[in-house]
Amino acid sequence: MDLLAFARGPALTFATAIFVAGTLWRLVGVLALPPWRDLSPAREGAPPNWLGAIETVFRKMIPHKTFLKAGMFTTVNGYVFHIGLALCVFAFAPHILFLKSLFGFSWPGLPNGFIFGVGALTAASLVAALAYRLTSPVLKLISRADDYVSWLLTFLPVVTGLAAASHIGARYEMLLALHVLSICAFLIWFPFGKLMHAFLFVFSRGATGARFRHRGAQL
Amino acid sequence: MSLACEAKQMLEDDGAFVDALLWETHARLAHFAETGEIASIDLGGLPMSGRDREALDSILGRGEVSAAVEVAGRSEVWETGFSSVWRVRHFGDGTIAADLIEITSCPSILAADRRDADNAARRLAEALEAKLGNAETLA
Amino acid sequence: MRHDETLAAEMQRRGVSRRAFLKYASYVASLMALPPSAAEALAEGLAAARRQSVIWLSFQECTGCTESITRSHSPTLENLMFDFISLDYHHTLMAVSGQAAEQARLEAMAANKGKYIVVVDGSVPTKDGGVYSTIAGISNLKMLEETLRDAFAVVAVGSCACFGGIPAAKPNPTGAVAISELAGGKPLINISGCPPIPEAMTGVLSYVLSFGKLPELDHLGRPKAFFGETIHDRCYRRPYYERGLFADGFDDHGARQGYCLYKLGCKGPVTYNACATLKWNGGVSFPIQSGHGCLGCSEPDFWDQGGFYRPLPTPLGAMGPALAGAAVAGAALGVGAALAARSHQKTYLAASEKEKD
Repeated sequence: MDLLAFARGPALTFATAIFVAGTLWRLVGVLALPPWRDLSPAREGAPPNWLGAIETVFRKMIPHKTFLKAGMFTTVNGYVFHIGLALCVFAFAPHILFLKSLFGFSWPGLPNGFIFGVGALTAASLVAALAYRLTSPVLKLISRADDYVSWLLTFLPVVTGLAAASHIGARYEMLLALHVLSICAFLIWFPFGKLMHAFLFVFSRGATGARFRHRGAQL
Repeated sequence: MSLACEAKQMLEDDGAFVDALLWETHARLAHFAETGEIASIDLGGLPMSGRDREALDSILGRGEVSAAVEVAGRSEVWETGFSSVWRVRHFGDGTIAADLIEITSCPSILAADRRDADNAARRLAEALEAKLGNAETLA
Repeated sequence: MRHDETLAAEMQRRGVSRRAFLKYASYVASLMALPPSAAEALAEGLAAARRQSVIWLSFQECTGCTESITRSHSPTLENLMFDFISLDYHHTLMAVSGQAAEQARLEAMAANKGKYIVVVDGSVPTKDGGVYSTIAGISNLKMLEETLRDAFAVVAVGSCACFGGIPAAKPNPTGAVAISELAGGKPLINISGCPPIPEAMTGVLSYVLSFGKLPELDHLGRPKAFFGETIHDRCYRRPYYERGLFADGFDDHGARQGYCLYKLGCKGPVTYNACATLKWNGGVSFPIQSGHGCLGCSEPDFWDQGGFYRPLPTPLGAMGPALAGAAVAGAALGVGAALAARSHQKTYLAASEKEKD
């Protein structure tokens, strides 16, 4: 079996299985915890808990005005690579074919040239994020191995994808195999590290929102 | 074929490819004029469409020499409107088997090889002897 | 069947000048993307060469490779190739049969010891002592070993000889293997494809004949001149791929517009061959031009790549059961973790209540 067949076959199946099992484990584990009961009466004018939760999920998409200026770089850069990643994953025709094979439905993609540009921008943005993390004293202090591993495993699929699309570095089937394997690594790591924020941010923000809004705090 | 043509159309719309080829020809020609070093450009492996080929040949034009060679199928050789720039096109069963731009005084396919001369001389002598023999018999 | 005369002398005797070599050489140089300046050296090499003895062995195969080489697109030029070699044994093409045929093989081997080229199409069954394919009562395994012993080089023609091909496809009941596994260190060229492009076969033979060495090969032993680029790289439908314009079915709008066949399972991006440039049937067409995706026939194990219509980026094999199992396991783990947390919370609360009391 060559590397590409291994990547597309056993490696991808194994990695996806780990991803599904791990993600469900963590999500069900969190969601099946006893519901939060605050017996105190809600502050006057406070929204119901569910509304406070939803409001906060969206409200927190832009930093509080106090931190707006200080956090400008991380906010803008964060948006650039998150949107970039989403476009690369969900709007590139070959990726849509992959997702269709899993879910059975598909949607139109964007031209390869455009996706390639987005991918390059995403890669640059990820490098900038790492540089910032390494140069900001505070961020550097609170960074753990998890942060660097999560960064690397996000970065690798992007660069291997760019290399495969532009045939740089090796033969295409080798680059494609490395790309698929890098995604396998990403999927395996996903549930156990900070990448899990992709699912958990909704619940953590919601929980914070519900608690604080209940007490009348403005977020 | 029409589908293929349509798709090629997308590639073809700019004539940049032919221009690049002509610039290369120019560079080799200038080099030949200066040093006498011959060169040839193989059009076979290039992603050229029929239209590209036509555009190329219409710019190069036709010069003083045109020749047909009949060996293992037909070959056409002609000097373009630019002295020392030749077009050599080999056919095998009607389709183009090789298509070249040659920058040289005379394409080698036209010149007779001296090593064939030996055999030719023998054959000519045989022909003459036969003729002589015939004359003698008649006499 | 020894040939002491040079090809030039032989041709001269038939009234053909050296121009024939020049023409043939520029054709081969163009085919193999050699620099045009190499054509002259190629012509000289050919002219000075002796007729090359070729022994063609057909093992587990369908004769498609022979069909291909005998139907190449420029018969006049192609005839020249057959003037340059002496096909001393080919059990489908030769006039004699039975004992006389085997005798011809043995005589050619003796007369051209160390100089003859063995061309093989078909794979070799190795299971049960190789009983699954025999010629004149000799197993393929034994005939290959015997014929290769004094050969100059071996050319594996077709995907069966190069990689095992269809006989070696799962479950490979005859234990078929590629020639490379049995070549025992002899110089080997693989010309894969099902069948290979005829020009690739004749081009490579001409190269070996005139230069006396193997052309540049890729990591799978295939000549880079013909297997250096993917079908996708040279496909005329490539601009549609880049623009994201695909056919979704074989008779939809996209198919009629001639859009890219990637979604219909085309293996062009991972298939190295020259179909997109040399094409088939005298340059008439090739599969993609005729509306069907590339099957990847010149790549190892092309028969076992999950199906011809399965798009390249989709996973191989069925992921469904594995994912369903993983989902159940993950959810169960999650429930278990939550229950553990709940019971832990309960004992903690009870303990703190007690403390208060």
